[in-house]
Amino acid sequence: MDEWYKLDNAGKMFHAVSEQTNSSVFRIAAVMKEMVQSDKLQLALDDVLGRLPMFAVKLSKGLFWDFLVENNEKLFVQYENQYPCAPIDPIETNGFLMRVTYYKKRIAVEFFHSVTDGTGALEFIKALIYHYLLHMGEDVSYESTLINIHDEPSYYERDDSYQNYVTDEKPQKFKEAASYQIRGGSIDQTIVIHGKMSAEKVHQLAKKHGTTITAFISALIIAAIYKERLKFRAYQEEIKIAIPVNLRNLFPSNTLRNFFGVVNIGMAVTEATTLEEIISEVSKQLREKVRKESLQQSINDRVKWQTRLTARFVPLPLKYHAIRYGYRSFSERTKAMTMTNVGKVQLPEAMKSHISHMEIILYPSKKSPINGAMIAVGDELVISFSRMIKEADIIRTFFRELSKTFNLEIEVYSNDSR
Amino acid sequence: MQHYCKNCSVYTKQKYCPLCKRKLSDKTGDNEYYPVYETKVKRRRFAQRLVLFIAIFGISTSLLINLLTNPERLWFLYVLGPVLYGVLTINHTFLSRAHTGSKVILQVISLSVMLFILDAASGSSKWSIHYVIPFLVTLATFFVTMIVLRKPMKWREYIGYMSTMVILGFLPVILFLSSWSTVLWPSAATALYALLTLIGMILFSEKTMKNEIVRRFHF
Repeated sequence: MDEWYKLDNAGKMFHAVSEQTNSSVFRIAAVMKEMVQSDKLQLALDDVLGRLPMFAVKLSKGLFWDFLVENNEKLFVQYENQYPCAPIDPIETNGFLMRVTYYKKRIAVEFFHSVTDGTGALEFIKALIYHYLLHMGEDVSYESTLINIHDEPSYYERDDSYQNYVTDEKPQKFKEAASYQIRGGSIDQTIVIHGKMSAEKVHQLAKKHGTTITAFISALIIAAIYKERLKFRAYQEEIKIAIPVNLRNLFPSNTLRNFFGVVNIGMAVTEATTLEEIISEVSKQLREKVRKESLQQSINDRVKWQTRLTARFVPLPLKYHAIRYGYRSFSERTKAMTMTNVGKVQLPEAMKSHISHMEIILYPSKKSPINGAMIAVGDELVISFSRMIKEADIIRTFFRELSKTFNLEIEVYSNDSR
Repeated sequence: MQHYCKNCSVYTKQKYCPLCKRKLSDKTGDNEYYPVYETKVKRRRFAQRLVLFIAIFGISTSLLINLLTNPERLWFLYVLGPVLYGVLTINHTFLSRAHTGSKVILQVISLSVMLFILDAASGSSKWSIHYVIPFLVTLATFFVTMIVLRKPMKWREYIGYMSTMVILGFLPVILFLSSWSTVLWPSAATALYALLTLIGMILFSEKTMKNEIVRRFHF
């Protein structure tokens, strides 16, 4: 009962900026091959929360910072009846900052971003599915490079790695240019469209263009945004995609809390720009920005604002206003869309054979009303776009181009009831 | 069954193409992947807004009548206090899902303010400051203490509210020292009760208290 954790650096930010139209809630889901049994899922959830106490937390208010406290209530699995990534109401979840839902064959976990990032959430759902399959009487094994699920929780899992890797280096001052921002008629729903395709074929396509899947897909998105929004316009703004980077790959860490950076990749597109040019520019920028030195800068930048002594003792409500202002005018203005790639999920064959495919959904926000995310398991790559505007033009063009130009077979599905 | 949308060159199991909304099939089938969402009726919010509207209606009407008929005597204050208190009681104490501790504290504060307004409107004999408010604070502190004693597990949740109550407990004495209030014994009794509560909190929960203070004030 006494366990408590300071919010990590990114967690503080998400907590400060979240609101009805910016839920800071993301989803990772697995679509199983059989119908999900809720009673077994509940048993699995109880097991996992016991092993991963970092996730069984609620928010408490402090004078200078809010914090996370161990939550001893029970988290119930719910039948899915809300839009994906809906704001988490602690009263509905017994104080938990996450929810676990099921619908037909899908098991979904949704996290408030203050608790963990995509990597942490992925570990959680892997452990959940493992225990679920065990309760279903399946003979499965588990593997992960990050945690040992059969062991006691390790101290590393609750590390605030931003603090561990911050250096004294003076951050360089540079102002990031603004990006074109997607606008549209707002709707009070989150519509998601998933496109399921062969991971191997997309990998081959990216390889043929001498780049990675992330760069390839991001370039296609930039092209789609240009085609739908900026083509017939005198002023050609830069179109930038924000790409979250898992810092654990460059700064060794076993933390299950937030530990990611964001790089903005983009360019100004004109009528004469070819897709090849966009692809090569995007891959070049990605290579340059996803380096240890430049990401070190972003860690230092992030930690700097919260450890500056004058900022520390400002009472929380004022601090939150400052964070929101910074978020709106620096973070959200420099991107048109966020596109995250969780990559290929490593699972033992025994588990993989029970999973049809996986999904990851990023919450859209007012300033970034369409966001994309992708995840692959086995040969099934799913690219998902969530949006809170009526217009599906960019998403439609993206999938159309992908299937027509590159001759890919794509299955799309959506929660758009019509 | 998979349908093919020629317009978008994609496959889908849905009746309409999710990308261009073209109809691909006549069959009405269940969406395999997503439920039809129940739209949550936000009744609570509506009720709260209705209460607020009725309150504004009542206050403004009585203000108008008061000013038109008898502007020398501001009797609408007798309406204002209870109506504002009523709004808070219905919207916060009954309709909101806020923490019981915060409900108690808000009740104490709003009840005190209402009684003070009534007191002032009726010629200000200061009965509210002298007797009622100190008594209210003591009663509320006692009430929160009872909740905590009945559910010791929830003690930690209430520490913040208990501390606020203790601070409120010293308010009447401050009013006395600043010569707003002229009757000492109710204020002094309230302060003593608050002090005893504080000492009790420290004696019986040393570690929890300390831990809680560390958390709440970490920077």
